[in-house]
Amino acid sequence: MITQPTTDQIILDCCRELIDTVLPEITDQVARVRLAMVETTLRNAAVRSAHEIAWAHDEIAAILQFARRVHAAIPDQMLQADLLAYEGQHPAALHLDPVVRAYSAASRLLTTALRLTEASGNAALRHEGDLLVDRRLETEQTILAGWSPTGR
Amino acid sequence: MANSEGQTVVIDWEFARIGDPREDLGHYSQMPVLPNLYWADPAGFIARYRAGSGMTADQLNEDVVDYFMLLGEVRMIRQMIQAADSLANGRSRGVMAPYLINATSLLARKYVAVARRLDASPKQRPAGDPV
Repeated sequence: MITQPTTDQIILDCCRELIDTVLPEITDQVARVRLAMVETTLRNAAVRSAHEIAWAHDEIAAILQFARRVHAAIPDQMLQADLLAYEGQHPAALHLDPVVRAYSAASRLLTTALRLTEASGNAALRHEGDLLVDRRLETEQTILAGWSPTGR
Repeated sequence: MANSEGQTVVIDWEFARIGDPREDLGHYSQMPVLPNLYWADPAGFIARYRAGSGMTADQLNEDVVDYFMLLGEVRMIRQMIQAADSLANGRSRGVMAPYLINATSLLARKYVAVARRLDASPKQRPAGDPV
């Protein structure tokens, strides 16, 4: 397998080509805006391609720890069902599809756990849940890579 | 629309319908397109709006704007997530869908920040709100 240049480097090189070579040749204003949107979307994809499996893997582990602590403090049938559902999705390999399925199952788990902590008034668990939400938002912020609302 | 000086102005309506006018303020408060007159001076903006509309301080204040932002933007986030879901299920809707995944991230961040700010505020339900 050819690993270098990496996927994000290849995508970013395509972005450079689009902006430096293709964009100057386009005169239609709508097409120019669309090209800018495509280029931005590719930049986001470049950031994701470099990290998304590791990010998902790390976040899943943190969510599982949190959900198990919540379940120990606030036993709940739905949370237990979500924990069991997650076990069925735990990825045996790091291919993207199973990791994404596991991440979706972990996200459902997080939702249930956050609802429980919110209702319980347990300040420590609520704070821990907030930190997990912050962590996800920070990852999204990294993927934005300086995005601005072009075309709006 | 044309004004008396002959200038032509285009209004790009978004979610046009009959409703509580404070929904407009909630929506506008998160608009990332500059200049955003609300965020330039929230207190001044609200004071001018109250003077023009006759609303009281209980009916319109910064918490109320936050409240209607949360109420209204659920609809926006749902639309953007539906577009992303279509793409994930092999139904391409053009470049706008993947492009607006960024807007979903941006809006979600603002949404959480506003929800937390409002949660910490003593007044969480605006006067006259039917919800």
